[in-house]
Amino acid sequence: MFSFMIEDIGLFKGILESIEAVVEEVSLKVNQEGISTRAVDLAKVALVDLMLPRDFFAKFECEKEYLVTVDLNELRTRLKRTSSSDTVTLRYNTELSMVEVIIQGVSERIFRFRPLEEEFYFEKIPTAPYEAKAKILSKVFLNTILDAEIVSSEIIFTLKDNTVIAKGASESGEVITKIDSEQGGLLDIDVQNEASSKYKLDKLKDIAAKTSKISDTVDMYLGNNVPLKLDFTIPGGGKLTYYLAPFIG
Amino acid sequence: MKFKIFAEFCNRIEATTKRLEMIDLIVDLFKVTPVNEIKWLVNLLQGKLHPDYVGLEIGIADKLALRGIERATGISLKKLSSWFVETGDLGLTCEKALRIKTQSSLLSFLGKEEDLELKEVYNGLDKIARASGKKSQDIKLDILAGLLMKASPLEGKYILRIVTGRLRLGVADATILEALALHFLGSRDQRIVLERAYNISSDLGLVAETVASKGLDGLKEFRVHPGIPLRPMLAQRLASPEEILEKMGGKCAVEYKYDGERMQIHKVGDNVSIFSRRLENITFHYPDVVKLTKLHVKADTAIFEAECVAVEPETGELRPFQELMHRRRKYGIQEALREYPVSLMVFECLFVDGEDLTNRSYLERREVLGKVLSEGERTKIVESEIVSSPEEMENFFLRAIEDGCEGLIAKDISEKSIYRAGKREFLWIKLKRSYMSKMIEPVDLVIVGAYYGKGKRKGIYGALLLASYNSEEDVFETVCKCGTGFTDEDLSNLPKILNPFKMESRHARVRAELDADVWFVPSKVIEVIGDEITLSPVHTCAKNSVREDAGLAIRFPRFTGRYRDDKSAEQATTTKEIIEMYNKQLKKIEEK
Repeated sequence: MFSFMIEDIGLFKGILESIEAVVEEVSLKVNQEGISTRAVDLAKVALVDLMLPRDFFAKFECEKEYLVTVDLNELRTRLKRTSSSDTVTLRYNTELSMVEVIIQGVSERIFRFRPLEEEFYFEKIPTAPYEAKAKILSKVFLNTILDAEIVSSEIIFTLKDNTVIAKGASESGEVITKIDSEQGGLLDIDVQNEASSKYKLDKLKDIAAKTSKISDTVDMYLGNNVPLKLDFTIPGGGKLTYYLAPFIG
Repeated sequence: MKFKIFAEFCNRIEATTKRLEMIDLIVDLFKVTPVNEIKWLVNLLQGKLHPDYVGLEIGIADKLALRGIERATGISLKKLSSWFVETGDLGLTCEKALRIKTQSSLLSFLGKEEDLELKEVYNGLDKIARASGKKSQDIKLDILAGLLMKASPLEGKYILRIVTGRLRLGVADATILEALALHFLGSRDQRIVLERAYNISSDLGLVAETVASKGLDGLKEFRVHPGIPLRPMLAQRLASPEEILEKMGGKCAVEYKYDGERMQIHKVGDNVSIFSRRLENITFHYPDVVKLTKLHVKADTAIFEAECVAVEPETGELRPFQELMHRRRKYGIQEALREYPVSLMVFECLFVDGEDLTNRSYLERREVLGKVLSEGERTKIVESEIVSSPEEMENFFLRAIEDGCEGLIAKDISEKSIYRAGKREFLWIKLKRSYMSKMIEPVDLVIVGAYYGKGKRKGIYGALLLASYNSEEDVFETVCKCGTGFTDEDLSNLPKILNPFKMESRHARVRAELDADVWFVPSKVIEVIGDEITLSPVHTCAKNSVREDAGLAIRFPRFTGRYRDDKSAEQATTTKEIIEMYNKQLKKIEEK
């Protein structure tokens, strides 16, 4: 059996939604260290990697390692039934082989549901030579993507001269966004060599929109024609990372 | 097994024009296929995942397929669509796109990229087929893109053809059976054993897996299994009663051949499954047939065959086959059920409570059917009799047509008359209506009699007996019974309109062989349109003019809503005109 009490239910729901930008079902690995999951979308373009240490939770109990697969939408619909004053505990009942959502407020409610049979914990993470990294405000990152989407379905990120440049272009025109430290959108940048890569916007938009609600900043790692790596630090501890495959040629 | 082997063989099979070469290629393919994958391979060779009766199709539309290619390659939809227009082939479009793709896969950044496996493609396609719910389109799209991400251009070409239902390698069941016989049983002659297994299981994949893993002994274990359809036995056709009787040894059974949908109905306890002639599971469309089965089949487990026909709710008259097709809709099943009610005309019983009847003779099966099925208003055993002369068969034929059937099926009654699943032999021979004349214009007919209605039409007239005018003899000759096309208002007004003309018995100028509940003085004329004009043993219109002992009848007559009060009975359509219409438009229908 494992169980963990969720401190900030709004934040927890936001994390689940952010994972859902890539996959709908995940296998949660729960052990002494905390909870983690790593999954690749069906089209094999995006990977999501989450780590929530045990300290992220108000209470955390786990006697051995478990891998429990859940449908995120199914879990969220139960969590939607909570209010901010409730105490919410997630438990895996080994006797019943059921996931339990225990909501304690003016009454105690227990939702039980069966986990999915299939297990998919992706062991590997992409390795790529990253030439540059930048820390940007999440809201600025999201707006950059929304701007690009107006003219294109793709975006080219370039990191050079202490500036993040994003370009969306199509036959109908183009949009160029420059983020540097002077306007305040860029918090930090480290460019070893100039780096530039192109990505599809659909998944990226979903990722940026969902993560902007849970994390104020994003660390962006860029190379030439390599996967885009996005790191989001979660308040209260924990990290959410995405990898997105590039367009080549 | 690598999917690329399958793709390469598909490419070679596609290129050959010789059947024997195709069989050799399939044999070569079997040689490199592991036993546990042969089932998937055989299904994929036919562009499917499961036997038809499972009713699970991959179902990716062209637009979604193009989006899948877009997602996997990064090439714009606009460009892909133009290639598709150019080639007319999504497979080639995908092949071209994969050659110059720009979108990379994350997998290529995770170390060694692996080849696509046959199992992986099969499972992916199966997931696509099973995806349901509001996000199903996205799921299908992602799975397809995921497969294409790993696919070579040639593999992509065949994946696309399979998902869009256009593999079309031209590999028929018989070709695969022959290749299986050659490779696993060493000789073409062994095909018979494989065929039998296939005919009673309808699952080529399973047959392949069995012969590959258990050989001949495994095939011999195949049994009829309620819930799994048998491939239906089919009828040969001959043109005349004489030929049929000669083939049948001078004596045979004849059954009405209804113009409906042939159904193979399986009952396992409370579970009823209905399969079409092509073995699609059509249970969903016919909840009423499920109900009738539960009501009238007195066995716990049974397989039987019936012709399902559309009927007029009030009169029970048969309706044209086309109307039955309204039942095959995806939505509004309950409405369709009310608008197009059906009757079951049962003609075969293949399995009852653990006993396989397929090896029993026709007469024995018929006897069991009589015991197992309790008839009701909407469930009947088809009309049949034993005949031993062409005249008897001809009379039965005319009666069948008059009753709304399209002809008859003659059935062998000897000891050898077993049910031969999947076979078209001379144990069953059909004789279809050989004369039919399409009706393209309405006719004005005289009301000479009426029948009391049933159900909703109780207390009023449910159908009218209509006649044409024989101007040479100055008589009215019946040509059809019509109960269709009347509004509720028409029906409630009919007694008021007709009762002033009511008579105690048939009018002297009415020539009729049918009995009506009520007779009228021939006065009122109404406009009627039918589907066609056919020969009839009971209607008197043009009796003996076209054929001895037969008159003409209008099939599927409908009231157009026009009362021809402007016409007297003698101004109605004449018998001569009906004969002309019949002759003018007469054409031999192409036998189905």
